[in-house]
Amino acid sequence: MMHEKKTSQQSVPNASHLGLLKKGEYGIITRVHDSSSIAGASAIQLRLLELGFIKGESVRILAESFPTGDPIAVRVGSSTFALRRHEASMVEVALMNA
Amino acid sequence: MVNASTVFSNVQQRVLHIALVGNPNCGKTALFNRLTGAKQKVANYAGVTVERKEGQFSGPSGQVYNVIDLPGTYSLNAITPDESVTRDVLLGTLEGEQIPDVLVLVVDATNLMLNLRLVLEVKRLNIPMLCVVNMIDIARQRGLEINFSQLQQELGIPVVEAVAIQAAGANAFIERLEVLASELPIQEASKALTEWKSDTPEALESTQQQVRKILQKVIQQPGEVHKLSDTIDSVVLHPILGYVLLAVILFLVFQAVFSWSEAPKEMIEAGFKALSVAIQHTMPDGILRSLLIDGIIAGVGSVIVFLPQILILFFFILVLENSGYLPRAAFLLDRLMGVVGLSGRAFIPLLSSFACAIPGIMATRTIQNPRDRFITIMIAPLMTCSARLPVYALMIGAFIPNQQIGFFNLQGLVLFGLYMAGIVSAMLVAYILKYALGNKEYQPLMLELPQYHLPHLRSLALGLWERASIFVTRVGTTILAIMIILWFLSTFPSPPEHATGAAIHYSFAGKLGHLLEFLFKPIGFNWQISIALIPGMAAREVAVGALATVYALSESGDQLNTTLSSVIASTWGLPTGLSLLAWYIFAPQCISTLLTVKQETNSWKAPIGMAFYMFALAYLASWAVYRISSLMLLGGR
Repeated sequence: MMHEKKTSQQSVPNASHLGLLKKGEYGIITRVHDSSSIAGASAIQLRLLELGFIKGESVRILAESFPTGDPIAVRVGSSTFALRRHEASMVEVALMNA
Repeated sequence: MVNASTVFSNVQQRVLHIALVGNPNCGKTALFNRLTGAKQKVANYAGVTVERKEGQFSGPSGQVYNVIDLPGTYSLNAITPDESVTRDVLLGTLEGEQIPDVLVLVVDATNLMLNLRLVLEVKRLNIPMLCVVNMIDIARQRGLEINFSQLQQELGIPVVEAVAIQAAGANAFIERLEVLASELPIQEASKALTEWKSDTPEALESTQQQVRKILQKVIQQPGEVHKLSDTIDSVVLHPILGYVLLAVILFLVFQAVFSWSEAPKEMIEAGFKALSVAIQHTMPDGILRSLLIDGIIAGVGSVIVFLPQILILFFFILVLENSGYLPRAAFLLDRLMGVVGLSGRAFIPLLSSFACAIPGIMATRTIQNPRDRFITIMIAPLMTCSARLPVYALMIGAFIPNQQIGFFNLQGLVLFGLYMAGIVSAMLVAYILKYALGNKEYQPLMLELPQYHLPHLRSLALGLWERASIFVTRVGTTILAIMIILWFLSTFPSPPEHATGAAIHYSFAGKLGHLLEFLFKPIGFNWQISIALIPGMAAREVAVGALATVYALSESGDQLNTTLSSVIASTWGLPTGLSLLAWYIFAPQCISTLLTVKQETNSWKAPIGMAFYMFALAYLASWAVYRISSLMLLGGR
């Protein structure tokens, strides 16, 4: 599982990204970036925005897959999506119940 | 409806083309089924194997509507072949399709937040449209209340509610459509291609904010929309229980496919037997009678007995699909399938391939990544399709003793082993392809887990009817033609007078079989099997009928199977039987599958590659099985 955090986020309290959240945790989306480390990121960014991953929306992890906890089932708005932690890492969140 | 047309003065003289547009899982197809009933035409869009569903209905005014059910999409910014079709039809850039006169935007009442963005996006195309808020019954049950007049005002297009699964559930929609239709220009306006480019992230966010502002005004009570689905998901997506449930479901499906089909299968067999007996008694002996009994009834009958199994399998696949379970299975299996380089999304096409590789291969179009999609297509035929069952059943019946080993039946175990052999080799092939093709681009999963729905009987029935007619049409055309050709080849030329061997020896088929025997002898196949393999290429299940014809048996149905079974049990050695079983795990798939692969990949490379690798695997596996089992038999003596 991923443990790295972007240096730019460390100044914001509870800053994290969706790819790091555990089952039951929730947060508020602060930004969806098009990370340069993921190939085809801008297309993924657009689709995430279309699916409702937008700034200010709350997200909650409903389930983690077995055995590695990846992918995750995420509630956003009135929908549920299965995301891999890889693409979920593009969604920056402020953790709400740390 | 004659009088009605005088009441509505503005009835259009032409058929109006309407298109259903909406997100996946919005209940669009249920509305389509409600409107058109069984009068649907299923074909493909020009140049792509995306299923095109079209139907007609008429309103109370007598106006006739031609309706197409466009593939579900989240956005006009398409990332799958399915989504591209929807975009291209709406923009008027798809060959052979006209821009619809009216667009019907179908949205799920319980998920307006996701659905309305597409409505706002499509609205910019300036095509007359109306919005149908579907599944309003479920929304109300869960305490969600929507102000429709407010929603209509905010969207600026007519909005109607619907419960597509109920008999009168689309009436409000049809009424409103009639009003809209009467307002359209009488003459068909020439429609210009619509200018369109994808949104920037900023534009997308602002549309999403607009959706949220609208929702704040129109949602009077949010209700508890997710409660039930979340409760079910706490089991279905559970890290342990979820997998137990998945295994139980798959086990039950396969169990049902085999046990429930027994009775209808026997009835069909008995029917065909009665038919051939009746013909035998009423027709004089001759060429025509031989064609009817040995060619058509023996051949077609041995294939049509699979209809019950195919229907049962498709029934379960439709139930799992309509209830919303399949994407959950994809979620559970994503990691596991990732080991061999596949996405969890591949689970759905691969599961369908157990019924038949063709719908399975067609289902791969929901996989965005071309490489993932290609690998899934290439391994789909390794899933044991229902057409292989007759061959397996014949071989197992003839060569594997029907005895208990502990709790298990040996025949059942062998059958299970054959299925597993297919799955394991598919995984190996996928693994090899993963490295051969390289992994350049990361592909996200981003799969919606829709709320659970009780599968609706009408939709299930229509889905099954569709599958049944495809299968029966295939039997009535391709398979019938092949059986007639095969009968011809194995009947002519007639044996010379005072011939000693069986008549088929002297026929074209006999000669061809003897030629091929040279190729297949190393893997233990005799000339009769070699002949049967050729029509088996057209459709695997025909191999059984072909063997029956080749062995010049005129009985049909059960008697055919048992007689054929005892004939091969006494004339072939065990190694030959096992070798043929191994052959059919990999057996070069039927021509229809290869043609589907050609259509899907738009090139001959993939089907040729597929035929080649499967032939090579089949030959190798059969050779190994034949040699090893021959040696073991020798050693055992």
